Amino acid sequence: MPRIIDVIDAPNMGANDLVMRVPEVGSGDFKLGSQVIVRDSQNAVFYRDGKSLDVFPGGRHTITTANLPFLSGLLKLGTGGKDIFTAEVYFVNMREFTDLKWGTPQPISLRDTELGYARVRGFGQYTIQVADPKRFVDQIVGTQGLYQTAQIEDYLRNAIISKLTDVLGENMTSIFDLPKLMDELSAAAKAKVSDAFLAVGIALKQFFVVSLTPTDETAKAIDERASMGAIGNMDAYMKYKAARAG
Amino acid sequence: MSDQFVEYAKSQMGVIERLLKGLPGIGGYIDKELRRDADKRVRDGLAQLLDQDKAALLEVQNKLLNSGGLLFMDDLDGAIVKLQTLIDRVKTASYGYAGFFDAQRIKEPQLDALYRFDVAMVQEAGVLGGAIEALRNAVADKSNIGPTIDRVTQTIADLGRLYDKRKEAILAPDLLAQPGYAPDVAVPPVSNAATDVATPAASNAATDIANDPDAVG
Repeated sequence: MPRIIDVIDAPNMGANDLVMRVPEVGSGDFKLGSQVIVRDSQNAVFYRDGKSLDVFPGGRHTITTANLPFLSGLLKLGTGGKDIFTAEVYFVNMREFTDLKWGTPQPISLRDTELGYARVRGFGQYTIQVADPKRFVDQIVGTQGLYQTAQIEDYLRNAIISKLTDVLGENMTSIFDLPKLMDELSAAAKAKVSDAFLAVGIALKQFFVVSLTPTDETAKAIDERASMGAIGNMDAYMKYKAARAG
Repeated sequence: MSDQFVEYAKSQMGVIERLLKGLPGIGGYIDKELRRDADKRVRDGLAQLLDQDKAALLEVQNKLLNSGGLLFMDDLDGAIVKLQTLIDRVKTASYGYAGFFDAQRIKEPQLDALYRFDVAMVQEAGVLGGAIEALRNAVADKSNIGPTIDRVTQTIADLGRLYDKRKEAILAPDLLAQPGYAPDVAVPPVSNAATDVATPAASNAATDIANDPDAVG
């Protein structure tokens, strides 16, 4: 005898839970008149026959043919008059997920007008919020029972590093401009990353570049240039290097 | 009367027209039981419009970046952050059970004044849309970008101040009765305000107003 779910809710979503599926596995037996209770900090995406039929905002929603217009037709076709049907609900946590961290696993190599080329490392923090629950569930979550921030962090981190590399490559001419352009580069990276995140239904609420520093190798080259007092003069630099090597 | 509303809406920008149609109208505020719903509907509608503005602003920001406008990124990001903050405030506002939502009697002029705030906010959101469009043009022309970003930022700040004032009025409805407190905007005549909420309670409340135009709620 199938258990018929009269009240569908997800009151115990954890701090890092992005999505909770009800039921966790398989399909639930729902009936018209079942109540979907959605917290203010949640949205619920209702699936039937593999299709997302509706997104419920915060509040109490009674499943009727009025709020699921496609459902009545499907029921007539499939159940021969019975009002029990199988479906699943994905409760999406709409709160902001703060203090997520990103960092460059490998240094980013850049062409540099002063040093020839430079390598920088960076790290920072960001905050996300699901902006489009349906798109997020469709494109990222799939059919998993529980989806947490840790499962998506690699994807987001890679997107950030890819966009940051793009922004630095296109806009930074020399590492010596870095202190002057830090805010601008950070804002530019945020703009690019926002676009990439929105494509999977996530809004980038905050984005900080905490540090963008040259690698030891590049720092040494900067020191050499500074110590000889010939920044911007490649000829003098080469002579200096040759003299040091000799 | 509904024809008048249609005529008014037609005279406005398209985006304003859409949102004004979504406003619950004075009728939504009449019954104290429905005031929260009416307020939530107004805020949701406004947040939706501002979300669209933010998406447009992000698109312009990427265009600006791709056309070599790195130096403007910080200023434009500042505007986007301000807009995001406002959207979050509008979406998540919780006014508690006091003030406008309390069981106290709300006079009709106060309802009218609050409705004027709603209309003014929608119109100001339309102004913001216009400012973003001007920025889009400035980016395409590569001229006057800085001042146009300033205008966008200023418009967001104006909208924030208007929202603060409305919030203040909701917590202390007596403010709404003060001359000059509510914005001086043309309010579209709402012929059948109660049907906006579409509940019997609202209809009854509307009837009560007709019988006793001085006090409602």
